[in-house]
Amino acid sequence: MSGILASMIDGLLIGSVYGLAAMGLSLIWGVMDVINLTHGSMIALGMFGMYLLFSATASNAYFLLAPLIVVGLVLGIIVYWLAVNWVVDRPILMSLLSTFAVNMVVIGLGTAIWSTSPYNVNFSVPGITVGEYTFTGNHIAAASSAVVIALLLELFLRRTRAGKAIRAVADNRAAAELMGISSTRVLMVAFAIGIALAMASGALVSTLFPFTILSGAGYQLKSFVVTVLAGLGKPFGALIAGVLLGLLEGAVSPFIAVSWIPLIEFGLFVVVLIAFPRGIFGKATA
Amino acid sequence: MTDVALELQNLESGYGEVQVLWGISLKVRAGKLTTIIGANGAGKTTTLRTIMGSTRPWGGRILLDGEDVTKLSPHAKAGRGMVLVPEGRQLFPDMSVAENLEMGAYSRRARPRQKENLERVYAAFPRLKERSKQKASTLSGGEQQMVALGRGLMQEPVVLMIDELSLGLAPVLAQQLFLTLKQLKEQGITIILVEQNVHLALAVSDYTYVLAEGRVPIEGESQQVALMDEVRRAYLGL
Repeated sequence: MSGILASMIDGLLIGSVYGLAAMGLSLIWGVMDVINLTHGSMIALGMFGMYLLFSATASNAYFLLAPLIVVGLVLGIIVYWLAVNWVVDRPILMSLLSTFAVNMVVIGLGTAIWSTSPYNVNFSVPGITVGEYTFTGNHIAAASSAVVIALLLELFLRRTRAGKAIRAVADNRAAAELMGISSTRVLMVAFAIGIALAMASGALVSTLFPFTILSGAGYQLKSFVVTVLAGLGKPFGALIAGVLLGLLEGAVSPFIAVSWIPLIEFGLFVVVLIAFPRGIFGKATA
Repeated sequence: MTDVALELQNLESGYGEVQVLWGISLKVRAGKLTTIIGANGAGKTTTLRTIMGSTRPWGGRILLDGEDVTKLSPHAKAGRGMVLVPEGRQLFPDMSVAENLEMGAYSRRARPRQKENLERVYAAFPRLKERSKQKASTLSGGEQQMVALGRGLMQEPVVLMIDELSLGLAPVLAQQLFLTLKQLKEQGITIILVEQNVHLALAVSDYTYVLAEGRVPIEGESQQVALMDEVRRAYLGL
């Protein structure tokens, strides 16, 4: 019995990293109605960014999150101007295609540089032993980092003028313009934050499991599930839904083969969509 | 004649292929209340949207205090004190009343006086103070109109444009809002009012433009316009 509990706690820890990744996707969707298909490749870049920085500095991997977030913001701004600004108000297929194109370019370049063989970040934090079970230190550190970043984002959105401007643009872009808010600049900032979150979550994953340049795809898929579960455009809801998804994985994994987990996740996804078409934390009306 | 705060020269615009404004020229005098009346579809809302840049001008010029602002984006115009309280209120539904008002003070010119302006708005609409923490979407229509107007006042308007102040409001509340407008005018704010209640609009305003089919066939001091036969027949139902 304590084995299930331990497995669930572990799932909860990993789930908060899923949640952080989904926050990025959710924020971008909520503010500009763009489904960001660069998400997976940005998660992978976060993994390799962590790998490179860690190899170069050999410092505490979790302290390297800060510079990686800065890199993510800059990269997000570049991608926004290259591929997103032109398609924001166009039919959704346009932004799907343009972000997918960036995704393919990044993965192509990544494959050329790093091939598709696995890498890992060789850093470990001492675990915590409770009774017969030891919780991996990295899982705890990654989960704590994810929660701290998520809380900082929430504080930024709720308490700062720039954060409120992002929410205003998400709520009603035309009205935000009338208030003197440059909506283009706000979209750029929101996109950059979304990319930075994807990279941060990738960086955290890289301290947990081995990865390849293709590893982002699986997390992108999970991010979609989590984002929709939470209700599109609800970043903090996405964190909670991510934790729930991790918890579910932890609860079922002692009983069934790992290959069944996606089936259960996506089965649940369909059920939730039928029961709560707007997501668990979604608005009641449009 | 007093100074002209806002001037439109031969303004044209529309949506897609459809031209709505066919050369609107008007001079809005500083510190006066100017009203634009006209039938549904005459282009009143389009005129205000085009002045703000929410709808792109196709031709003509917009001058603010003599300076050409025709091509500026809405946020740049808002930054110069051109304020539109849009039709349908256009609040930020997921944000609280206080946050909606705060967004009014976003621009650099409005920021320094945010506190005083907020107190002014709460003094004018005590109901909003009681509901300051509530989400805007949970308010009644009348309260939402108060937020929309209050948010406009937070912007420190030089020219305040209001699209349908009284639409869907109880008469008592409409009257209260019109009183508020009069006070604003006394404080020296230039106001352009688009209003479906022509009686009220003519009664409170100084100067009136009548819009029909995207043109301005009639203009004049409101008292005189109110006496014109064609206006009385077409818009006042007399």
